[in-house]
Amino acid sequence: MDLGPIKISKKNLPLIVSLLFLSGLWFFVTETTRIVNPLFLPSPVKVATALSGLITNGLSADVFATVGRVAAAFVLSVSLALPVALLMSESKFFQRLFTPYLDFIRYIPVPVLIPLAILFFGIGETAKIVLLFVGTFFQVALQFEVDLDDVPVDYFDLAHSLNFSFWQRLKMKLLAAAPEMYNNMRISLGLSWSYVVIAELVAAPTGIGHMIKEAQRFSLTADVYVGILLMGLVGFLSDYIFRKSYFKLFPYKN
Amino acid sequence: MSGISVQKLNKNFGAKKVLEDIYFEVENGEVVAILGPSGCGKTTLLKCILGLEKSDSGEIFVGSTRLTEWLKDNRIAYVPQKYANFNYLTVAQNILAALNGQELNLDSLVESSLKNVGLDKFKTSYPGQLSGGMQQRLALARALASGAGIIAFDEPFSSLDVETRQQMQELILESRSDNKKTMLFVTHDIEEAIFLARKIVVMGTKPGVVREIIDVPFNYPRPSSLRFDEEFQKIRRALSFIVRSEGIKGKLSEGEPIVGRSHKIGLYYWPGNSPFFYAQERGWFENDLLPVEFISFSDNRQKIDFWKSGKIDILNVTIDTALRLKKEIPDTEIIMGLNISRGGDALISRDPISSVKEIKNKRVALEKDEISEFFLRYVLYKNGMNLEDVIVADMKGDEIGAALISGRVDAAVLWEPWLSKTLELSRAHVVATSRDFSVFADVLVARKSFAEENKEEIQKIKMIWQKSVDAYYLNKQDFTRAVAPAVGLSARDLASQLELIEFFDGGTKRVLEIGGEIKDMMR
Repeated sequence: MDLGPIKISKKNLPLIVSLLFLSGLWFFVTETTRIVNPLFLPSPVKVATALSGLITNGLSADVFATVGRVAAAFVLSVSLALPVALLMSESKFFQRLFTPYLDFIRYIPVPVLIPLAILFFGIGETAKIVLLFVGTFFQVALQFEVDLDDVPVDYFDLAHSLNFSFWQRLKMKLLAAAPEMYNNMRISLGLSWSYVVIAELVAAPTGIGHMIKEAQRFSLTADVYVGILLMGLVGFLSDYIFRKSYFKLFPYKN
Repeated sequence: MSGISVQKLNKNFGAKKVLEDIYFEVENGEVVAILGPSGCGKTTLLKCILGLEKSDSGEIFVGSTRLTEWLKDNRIAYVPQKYANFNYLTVAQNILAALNGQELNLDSLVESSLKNVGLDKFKTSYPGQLSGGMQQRLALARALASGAGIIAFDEPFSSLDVETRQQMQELILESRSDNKKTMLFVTHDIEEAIFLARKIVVMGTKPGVVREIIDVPFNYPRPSSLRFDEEFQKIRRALSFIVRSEGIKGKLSEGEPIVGRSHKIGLYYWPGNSPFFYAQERGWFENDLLPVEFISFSDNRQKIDFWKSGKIDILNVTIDTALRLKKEIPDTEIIMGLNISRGGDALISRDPISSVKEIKNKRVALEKDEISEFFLRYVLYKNGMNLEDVIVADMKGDEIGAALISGRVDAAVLWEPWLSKTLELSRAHVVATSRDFSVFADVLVARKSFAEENKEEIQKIKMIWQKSVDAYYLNKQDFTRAVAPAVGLSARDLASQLELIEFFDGGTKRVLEIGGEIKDMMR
């Protein structure tokens, strides 16, 4: 999908100016005046050096590992949440059955499940993906169900008057709710990014979270900053892709 | 084939009655409008016919088949007000959605359907990219393409501007001449109903009932200039009166008495009570910590029954009714004199009658046992006649005007605000008014025991009335402007009606004198 380049237009000007200003300020307080202890905040030059060092030492593998975990868990969450949400929105029985569980588990913070995840699945990839899955699935399922229930009743009246079959009606419902569901997926993806680091901080041989934890052990603050900036950047990019593709997927919303 | 028959249809939402004994017939190929004020249940009725709502009792037939049976293989095409098209489908796909099951020549069917409504250039657009009028044209094209013999419209043009709305109405009639489909059109727009329909089902409100079924005598095709036709305007005036009355009644019935510690005062809904409405508007009752609740009814008999059964404490009646109640219930006491009508009530007629004497043997609409009957009796009495000399048609207050306009009666006794409205719409003229017979005084009555227990409060009500009357005579313009919305009239109309009323200071001396005057006739 061609999403077009990120254009430098007047709209982006405030962002660019503020970025330049913040980098300048960062450089000024760390490199020019050194009023801040470099242990707390290394200069941008140091962070850049640390970045190039990390790249040669396999940073891309860490990034791929993290992105891979998020992607795997996210695809799993969404593909299971969809049928569950459909079932709930179609049947009062399943709605009454599932909603209390969804509401209950939704409020359990993911970190408290780490010991159990390790106990059940060891310290491998499975445990991390399960944690991410638990962190997002219940949210997504509930949001999907709300989106499906929000399809205007007038559409169903119209479907009735057009004598739609059960499957045609279901398709109509999904298509009508799709833009909202897509938006909610985007929000849940943000949630995945916070959980992945928690999972990686505990026991992981790879990943951005793991890289940060290692840097902390050796007081490599510059590496910590690289990790933090990288997380932000990857999250920002994924969000950007979601937002841009929204209008490509749902041109009638434009 | 595709005629519809609705028989004694009832529908409740919980304890609330929404539709009551609805009946009407739609013949095959006929256009029928369902007209009524908002909230009268017309959309619910349409949904029952579409099979989207279940009725509690009654039957709907399509042709000779029961609706539930008919819906197994058929559908009524539907053009709703909102979400008339699927927004995620293109214009062409929206038409395709209606061609469900048809296999041949889909493309040419879509093409011709869109061409008929002038949308063939917009096949790949989405509904959201079209104007409101174009969106409704698309919905119409889909309904026509669906192959259904009946199309139901639910206020489809209410959000369009007048110009576009009229174009759409003409488009519907055009499409009808090609297809001869049966059409059911729900609307609150009176002109729309007359322009489109062969027959208009006028609905009353709370609960929704069929008030009138009116035949529209114009042949198709109907030119747009029809709207200026005198007959068209006559029907519009008659319908406007009914719909307006229903709107007011709907508002009033929401003021049904509730349980509470406030004093409930049942009032006539007429400008003579403006001082009470003014005081309420100014918050004077609250300032005096006087908990009162005014209840107005268009059905005066119901109001009296409420008082008799103790649901309301103080009752506003005319002096003659007060005397009658006194005879019936000796515990009755007249606690306040409010006003006297000096032209606010009148005997009016469509026929060329110039004096009261000529009313003999004519059909006169009035509200029995109420001021209007008393008025006629008094006018006849003063002219040496009595009630047996005319044919009385007993009706509820708000039906009388409509009966005169539609010619079902020769004359009617009416009071404001209905009086001016009827004169304006019907070309009737006044035969006698309360200006010439000034005995029509309004009073408040209560049980003696209640008056005894609440002496102070009654004194306060009297003082507030007096203060309000003073305010009227001091600054009529300000007073009128404040009260007009409460009586549902424009400030100008109210001002001219108030000129026909003389307000008392709340004392009972004058009304008791009048009581003495009419005693002879009462006997």
